[in-house]
Amino acid sequence: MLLQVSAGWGRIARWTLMAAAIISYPHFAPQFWVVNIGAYAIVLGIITLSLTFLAAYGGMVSLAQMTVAGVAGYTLAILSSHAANVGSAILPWPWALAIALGSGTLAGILIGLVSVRTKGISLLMITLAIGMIFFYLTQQNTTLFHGFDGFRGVKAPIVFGMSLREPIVFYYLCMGVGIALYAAVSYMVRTPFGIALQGIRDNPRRLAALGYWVELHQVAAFGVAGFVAAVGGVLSLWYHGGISPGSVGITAMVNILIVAVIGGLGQPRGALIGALLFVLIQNFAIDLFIRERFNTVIGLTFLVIVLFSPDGLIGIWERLRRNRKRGLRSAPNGATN
Amino acid sequence: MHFIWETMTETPVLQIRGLDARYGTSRILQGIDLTVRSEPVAVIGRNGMGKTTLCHAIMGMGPICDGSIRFDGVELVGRPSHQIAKRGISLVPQGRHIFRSLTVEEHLQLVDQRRPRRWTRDRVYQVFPRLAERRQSTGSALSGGEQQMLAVGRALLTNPRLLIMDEPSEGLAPIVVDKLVATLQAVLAEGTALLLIEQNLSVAAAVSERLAVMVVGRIALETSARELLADTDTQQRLLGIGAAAGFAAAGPTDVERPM
Repeated sequence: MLLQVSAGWGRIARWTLMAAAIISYPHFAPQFWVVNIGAYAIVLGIITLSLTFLAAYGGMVSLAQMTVAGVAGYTLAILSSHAANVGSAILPWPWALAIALGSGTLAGILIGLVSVRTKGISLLMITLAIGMIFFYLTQQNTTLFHGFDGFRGVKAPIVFGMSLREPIVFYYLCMGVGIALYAAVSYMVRTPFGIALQGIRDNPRRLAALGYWVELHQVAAFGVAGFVAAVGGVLSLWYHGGISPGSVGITAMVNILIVAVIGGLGQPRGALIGALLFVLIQNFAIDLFIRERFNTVIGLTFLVIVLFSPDGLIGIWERLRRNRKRGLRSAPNGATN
Repeated sequence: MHFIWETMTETPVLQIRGLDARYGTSRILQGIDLTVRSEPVAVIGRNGMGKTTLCHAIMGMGPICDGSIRFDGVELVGRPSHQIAKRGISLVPQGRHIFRSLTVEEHLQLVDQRRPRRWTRDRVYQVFPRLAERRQSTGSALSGGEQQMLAVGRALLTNPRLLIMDEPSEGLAPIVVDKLVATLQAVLAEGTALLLIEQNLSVAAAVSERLAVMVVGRIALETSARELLADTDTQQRLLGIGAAAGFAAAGPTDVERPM
């Protein structure tokens, strides 16, 4: 009983400590660590969260989540003030933002409509093909997508006199949005829709025989994932201050899958943890090794994780925790013997 | 005359006419005719005779079908599974097919319509107290018997007009089978139609008086449980039961035992 109470307090203490760390972080950390590591890892984590949601609960591994983020990013860039149209936005930013998120969600739904008839490797290939179509579209279309150059100097909106791209503001924005989306996904998987989705992952034919329209649920899942990725795409646009075909190219697309696998495809929090490690390697591989060896380091990390822990960093952490618990439980026995 | 009048007025719950079903090029079902009215029907037959394919054909779960399957007069051939299920047919599949990662409670949530109906979540837990104890266990943690209870509970909770059960007694301890038979009889008493697929003649006979024997994709014989239990030659010929004599001896007592 006493133990239970203290365990409860321990949890509260841990959460308080974590919240305090998250809130105070930008006040003692250098700006580089706040924005380029902290905020960007969350942005990447949000886009990856959309894939982890699809994979963990829907059993669908898509390569096109970066494409969805790119659709939202490009939409917002086209509608915003940027370097090429010198400061005049086509639409007030809340409208532009809503249209961007809507277009990302719609892109997710459309990709879902095309892809849910397949699964496994075929699904991966179809989503890769869709992603490549969008990549070449952005690269070759100059009237709408500005071709190879893309959009530069896109301004983040100004709210209450502060640009959302101010380092500390941007960090809090990303953190708040990231936590909200993570909570939303965690909540959704326990709703009837989420339960049905997991049933589909386990045995689609069975769920159909219980009266569920399997494809409809799968497309809806792509829509949800599309919205999450779209949010990530918008934040990514504001972070980079622009978007170009490279943002939706094959490397960017595959990176999302790599981040997801490094973190652990089985659980939503794997996305955020994988993204943090990915961004750290991305920034420091250049210092640790010869320049331009970033991809080698990422590749090696990926290989080691896949070989030793198929469920990613989350899997390693959970195994350690289980071992520690077992150690704690066996300790008193050892003492009495 | 009386007979004709009856067939004209009562629309059968399930009416299968000239049903062919195939997977790719292999024909599994050939010209099946079968009618289920208010009284239960049991289809028996050895392994590989097409019994499960018949279930899948009715539910629209894969085989390519020619012919006609009418449910309450509505043609089912060509409709997707989920629409067929929504019309009021529920299948308890062979091998149970419990979702590994969902809890017992979540399984029932999936099919709970939250409307006042005959079968509610509480009633399922009442009929299967064991499931109430294991409410928070995931499908992969359940024993075979528990999985079967859950599969039956899940099917009943959809409040079907027609319940199809594919080899429910397979792999279960006799005491669990007895419990299952008792539950089925209670369900039947409430007016749910039943199509039972079984290898175990004594279980089939305990639940249903009308039997159809399936041999290589055809209905070889339609008979009554009483007749077939008494006719060891036919049992041996169509069911190939090695211990046919044993069945004949055990059968009638099984039927007459109050459940």
